[in-house]
Amino acid sequence: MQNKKSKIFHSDPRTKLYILLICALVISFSTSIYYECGLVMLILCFGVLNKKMRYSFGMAMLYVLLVSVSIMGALYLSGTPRLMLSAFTDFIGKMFPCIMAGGILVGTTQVSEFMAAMNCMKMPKNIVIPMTVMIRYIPMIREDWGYIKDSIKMRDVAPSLSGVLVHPGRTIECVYVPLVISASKVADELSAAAVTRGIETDKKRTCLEEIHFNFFDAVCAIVFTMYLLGTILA
Amino acid sequence: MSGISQKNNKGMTIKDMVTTGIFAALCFVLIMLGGAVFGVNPVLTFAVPIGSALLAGPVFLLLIAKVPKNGPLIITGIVTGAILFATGMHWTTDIGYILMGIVANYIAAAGGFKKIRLNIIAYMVFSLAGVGPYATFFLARDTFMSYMIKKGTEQDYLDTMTNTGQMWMLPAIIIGTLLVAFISGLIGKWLLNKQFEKAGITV
Amino acid sequence: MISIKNVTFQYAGKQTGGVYNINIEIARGECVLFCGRSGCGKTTITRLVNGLIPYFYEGELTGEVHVDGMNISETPMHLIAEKVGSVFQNPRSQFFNTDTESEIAFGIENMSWSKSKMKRRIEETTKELRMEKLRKRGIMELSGGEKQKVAFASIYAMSPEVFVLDEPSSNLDVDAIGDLKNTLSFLKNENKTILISEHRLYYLKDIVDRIVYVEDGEVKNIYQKKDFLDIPVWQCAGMGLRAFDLNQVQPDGITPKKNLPLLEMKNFSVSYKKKRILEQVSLSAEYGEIIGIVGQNGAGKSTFSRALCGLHKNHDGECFWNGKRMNDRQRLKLCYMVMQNVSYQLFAESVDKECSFGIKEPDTYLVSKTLTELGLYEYKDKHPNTLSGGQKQRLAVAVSMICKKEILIFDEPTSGLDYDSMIQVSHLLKKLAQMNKIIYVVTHDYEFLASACNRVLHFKDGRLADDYSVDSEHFQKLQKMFIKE
Repeated sequence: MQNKKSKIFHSDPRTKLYILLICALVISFSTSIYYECGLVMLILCFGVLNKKMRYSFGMAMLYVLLVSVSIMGALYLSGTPRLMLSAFTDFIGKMFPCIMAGGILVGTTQVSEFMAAMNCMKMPKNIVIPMTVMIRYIPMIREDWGYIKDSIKMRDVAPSLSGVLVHPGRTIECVYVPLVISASKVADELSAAAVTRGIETDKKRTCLEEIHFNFFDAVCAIVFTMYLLGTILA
Repeated sequence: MSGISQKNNKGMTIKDMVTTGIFAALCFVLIMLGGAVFGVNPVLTFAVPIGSALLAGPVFLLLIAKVPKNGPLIITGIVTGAILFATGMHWTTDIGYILMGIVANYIAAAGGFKKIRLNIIAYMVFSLAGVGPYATFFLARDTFMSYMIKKGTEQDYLDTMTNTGQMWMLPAIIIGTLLVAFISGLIGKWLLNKQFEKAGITV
Repeated sequence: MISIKNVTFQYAGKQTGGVYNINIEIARGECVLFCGRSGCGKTTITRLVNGLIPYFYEGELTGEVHVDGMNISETPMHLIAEKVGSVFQNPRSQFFNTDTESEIAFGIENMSWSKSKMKRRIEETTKELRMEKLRKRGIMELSGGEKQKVAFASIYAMSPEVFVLDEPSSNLDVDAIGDLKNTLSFLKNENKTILISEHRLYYLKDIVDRIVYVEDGEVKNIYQKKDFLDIPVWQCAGMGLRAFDLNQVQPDGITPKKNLPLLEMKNFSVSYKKKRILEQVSLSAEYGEIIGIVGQNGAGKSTFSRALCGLHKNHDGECFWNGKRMNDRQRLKLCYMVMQNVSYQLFAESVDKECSFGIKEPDTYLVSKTLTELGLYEYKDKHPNTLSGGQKQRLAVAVSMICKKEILIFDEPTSGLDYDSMIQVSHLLKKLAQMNKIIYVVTHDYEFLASACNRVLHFKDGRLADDYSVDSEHFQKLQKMFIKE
């Protein structure tokens, strides 16, 4: 799949989770917007090294835009609009770095890698199984919704805004009933399939996917940790 | 009947775990959808928790009806929190879902998972998880103010802020969320009675 | 290898599907087919062997089932799993993971194999089942047949002695059934024991050794293959069985009288995200035609039917009804699709209410008349979800009749149906045709095509490759497509 060279910059999912944690902490300790800007720069570098060029630069641009809007707002607006705008930009600004880092995590991590990471972190079965099923089922909800939308259209009970207002009950039924009935059926069948493949073993499950830390992980972890310390001490 | 086929009422079976996973997925998607309607709009950003409370009620109640045991709600909280953490949501949201999952579980457990009113309250509490970032944002007024001052905001501007809206913002979000969650719970109750029980998909 | 002794099982809280006094001995390396009408209990027998009874399905069980020395009801499920592998009907809901590699490893991960051992085993498995090109793919992008193969691989990797298959072909197209057949022959050569519960029989002709005919929960007869092959077609039909030999199936569709074309499609091209997936389809249809739509997965069949209904907006070309131009929205009013999974289109809390769902002033007389016609009247107060698959399908048809739809599209209406139900659907279609509806059927079911359709549209690589009527003259084309050897 990937050649050796690109693997050098392929981070372990645990590193990415750690970086996310650091980002959250930096945001909580940050006393000035400069630290946040710096953090976004750092995440940008991390994203680029993880081969998420377009996404990372796009998000960085968006952040620049957000900061400029907030500066412009402070310069040219006054009263309530200014208040609204600044509340919005500050709030989003606080959320932004983590969302950006999260996007990189989701975009560069295979589900199997993520599950392997959970396995390595010794998560109990009660969490790992529902989590696996959940990640597996989310794309299926989308598929289901496609079919449900089609059938609603054919019945001429379209979920338009006016429809929701005139017949709220009917619209609710159209959406929930098929969705939930399909989900129940999948739950039954999936558990039968899992049970017949021996999921109820008392032995420890092993994991095919290999994850391990490399030099790049260590560098990233150190850089981000240093940044956090810098933020706290400042 | 042999021993292993008897239903173990205490622990969760594989089927319970799979069911929990699937319904947690539905909850998660509905929470995201409800929030997303408001999330993209600057004026309504602060209504995100209210929006997220709107859709998931029926699924949440059905999950309790399907697996009336200790566990599913806690797991739903943990899994939702974990996935939100991985997608970079504010850490208070993540912790919030885990905590509220646990609280919701014990509220529902108080009625043996059978009292619909308690189950609805459990859902209302669960919905509060999304309020976390807003609470930190508004409650950490001191840091927030110094932060604003360092950014070069004038003192009187901050005063206007305090006077105009900041005070009622957080209570409004909380009350709004509880109210919407209650409505969503009522819809869930209605669907349970009218549809799901008849359809044979509860338990 | 397997011995089932005096077993009687009744599902808790259910009247149907139980089995009575079952006695069967199956030797190592044998391939046994369980057949019979829907709900006769053949699936229940497979569940006795793979341990889902008594472990997963609750009920009253007496008698003993032994597999390779294990008493099933006393052995923990994960130990049974190492000996007995199961493949189920619906490939969509068998997967735990989102990529094929981890899915194949799922079973052996549970057996806590080491990483290197697993890697080697996956290598072997994919090579032996000839599915190297399915490695490292996302589950969602696979076709039904490919999913089935991955499900097989996951089981095969655990190297069980016994394979239990519950209607494995019901969601597959012709080519995928061919692949399934190859996989089964391979397993048989490996001296694995195979149990199959199935409606479609033809693909098993060269594989099975014995055939167990189940009726009303009891084993009516156990045939050796050669005896079973001697059973004449009419008798098979009487037993509710599909044809064992497709060469004996003859067309039965009535050619309708020539009318004026009612529905005309001109130069219909459909795209999905700027990619053309259906090119320049032109055709016309008239009252009373039952038109089968055939072709491989991904040939454009479902895109065509969605575009015809007005559900797929991204298309060129025009559509006329009675000479008048119709846009998407108008077509949507005229068309109704009965989906393969009908559950998506039933919304109300009872059969009765379903029929008047969303209609301002429901015509109660019409509702009860339609329900009676389709044999659903006695279920009118039940929740649609508690009906059987065939009944749900008929309910969807009832809805379409009440909504006065003129064009009906059926998507795989006979997947997983026994002979009787298949014939019932075929009669239903003919009845609808007599009511002057135009009917399209997307199907992989050769027997059904032969019994119901009077015209066939063959899609291939996003084009309408062929369009012919099902009569003695053109029937060979259909035979050629479905019966490869």
